[in-house]
Amino acid sequence: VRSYWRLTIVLAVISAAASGLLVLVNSFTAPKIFAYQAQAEADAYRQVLPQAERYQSLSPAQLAKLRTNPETAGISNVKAGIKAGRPVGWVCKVVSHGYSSDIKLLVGIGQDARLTGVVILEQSETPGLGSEVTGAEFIRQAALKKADPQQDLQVNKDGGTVQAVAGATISSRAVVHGINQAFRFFRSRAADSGPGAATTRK
Amino acid sequence: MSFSKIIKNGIVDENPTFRLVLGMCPTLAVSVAVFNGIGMGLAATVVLIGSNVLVSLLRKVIPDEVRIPCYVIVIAAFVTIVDKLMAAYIPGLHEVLGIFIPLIVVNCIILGRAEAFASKQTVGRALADGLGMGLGFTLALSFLGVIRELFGAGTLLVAKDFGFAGFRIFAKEHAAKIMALPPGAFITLGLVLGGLNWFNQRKGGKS
Repeated sequence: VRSYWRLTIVLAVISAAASGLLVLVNSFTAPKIFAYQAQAEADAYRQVLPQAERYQSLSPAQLAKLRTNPETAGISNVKAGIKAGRPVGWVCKVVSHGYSSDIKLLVGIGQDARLTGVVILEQSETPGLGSEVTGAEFIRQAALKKADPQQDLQVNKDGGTVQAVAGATISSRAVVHGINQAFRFFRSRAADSGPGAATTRK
Repeated sequence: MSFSKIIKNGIVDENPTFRLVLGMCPTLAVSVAVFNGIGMGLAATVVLIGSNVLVSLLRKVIPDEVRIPCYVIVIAAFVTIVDKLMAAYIPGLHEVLGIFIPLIVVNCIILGRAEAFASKQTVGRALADGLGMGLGFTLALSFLGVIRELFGAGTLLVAKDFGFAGFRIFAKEHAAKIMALPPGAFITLGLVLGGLNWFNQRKGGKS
């Protein structure tokens, strides 16, 4: 009977020690990781909508409305890019289901209805295959550069113009799906209240 | 067995990939490119050394009946701590190797060595075994990576995350994409394993 106690106690002590260590490590690494991610995200915003001077989030009510609409359900945040007090475009943060992970991306759309940039923030697609969607060859291809936000994009396999990464159609489709949601937001924006709506709250 | 012999054992005689045939899941997934193999291999080496040392230190404390859950807790905690520390202090490297780290937790080489070696050996020997097995894994992954990257993409040593464009050996149009896909992984691994066995049998027959 004594030995059973020993088994339980050893296992419990090891579990407790492991959890304690994890809590300790997390307590001093979490703020650093968070700061680094915030910095990386700020850089990414500048990359997808370079013409803006600052970025201002939409109101929680507006974001909630986007989330409940199945057409734009993947959009987790939208920031209006502002230069000299006037809006120059929007940056949508979108989550799209890829092949083996949730792909988080930023999509920048200029006020002049141009796709100004796409950056993949996070993904865990298959290394060497799906992960290639982060590469310039895919994300900066001509079909995306001259995309028209008035129309949804499609990958070549579905009859569209976007050249999917070879062997990674699902990951490519997920990125295109993310871009399309940003496009739909842009269109709803134009339909709702016309351009300049983002400056109404100051 | 001396330390150098233990290390050599991990790299050659009991190579985890080619001889023990352990850790096949990450092997098949990651050997698409040489750099992926090196990255995964080195990350696994660090974890192997750490987990081997910890398990060896705790070998007298852990009762036989609950050793496997104890090893799993030790390994998972160690990997998570390494992951967090890397993310906080070397974020650049973490971005590159980050995708491999969750894969390491489920890599059965780690548990395999804890059970088969570290739990019965001194700390120094367990460390040497972790180093040898890790290097053996790295070499095996890189070797498979050379074959698959060359035939699958026509390039060698592409490391985009480090801004290294690699070498283009032949045009992309001539590459067989199947080598970069899962079937290519099985084909390559099968042929390499068969080739090594054939080579070893021939060598054995002669001596």
